[in-house]
Amino acid sequence: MAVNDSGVIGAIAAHVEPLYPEEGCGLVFEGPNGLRALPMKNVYDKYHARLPDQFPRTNRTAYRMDELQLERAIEDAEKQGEKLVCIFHSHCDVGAYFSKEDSDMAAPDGLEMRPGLKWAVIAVNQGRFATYKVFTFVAGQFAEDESFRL
Amino acid sequence: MATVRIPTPLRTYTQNQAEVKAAGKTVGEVLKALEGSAPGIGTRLFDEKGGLKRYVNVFHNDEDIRFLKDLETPVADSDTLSIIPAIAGG
Repeated sequence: MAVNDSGVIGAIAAHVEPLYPEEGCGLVFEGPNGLRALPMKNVYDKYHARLPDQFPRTNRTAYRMDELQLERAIEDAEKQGEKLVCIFHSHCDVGAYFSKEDSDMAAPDGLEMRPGLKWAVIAVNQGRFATYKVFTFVAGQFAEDESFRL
Repeated sequence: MATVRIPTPLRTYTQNQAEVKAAGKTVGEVLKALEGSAPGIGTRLFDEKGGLKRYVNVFHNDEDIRFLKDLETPVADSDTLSIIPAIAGG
């Protein structure tokens, strides 16, 4: 962890480490008191179990948030004066990079679905937090953004 | 007519309206009818085969239509459809 990390990364690590070797995910809100991480359930396996042709991966190599839980969490946070600023998910033993699947889902057809968000990828190796990187959509593609720390 | 909740990134097609009304007896008909009041929105929802794009989720009341009858899911005038872009990846 870098010295300028806010401390939220500790809460995120505490969420994703026990989920290893599956991926974890969640939201980060910014409010009057700084950043707040909110873990979300990874429901990819539910889709894989029922629609394996459309969702061929599992929680080990993919994540998908429960969309209704997601929308309600965003609405609740906005009522408290918070704003969604970052999405995080973990990678198990493959490093903190923004994969093609990450990019295809975050900016399908090259258009951001949720403009302006930061995307944090948390590397978990052998069940332990290793590092994280933050990415932002700039000039049509995702690039590492060291200006935003968790 | 059913109520359709529009996510923020697609409100450019609905003059910033968060909810619109659209007619149809199935989810597919309602979503296609959106094109009348929100021209261009169909290109963001449907793939070239006419199915929903992978990152588009549509909830019929509180259930993902993929777990119902997909675009053939029946819709009543009192129903609400929510279009929610997936947050997902690998």
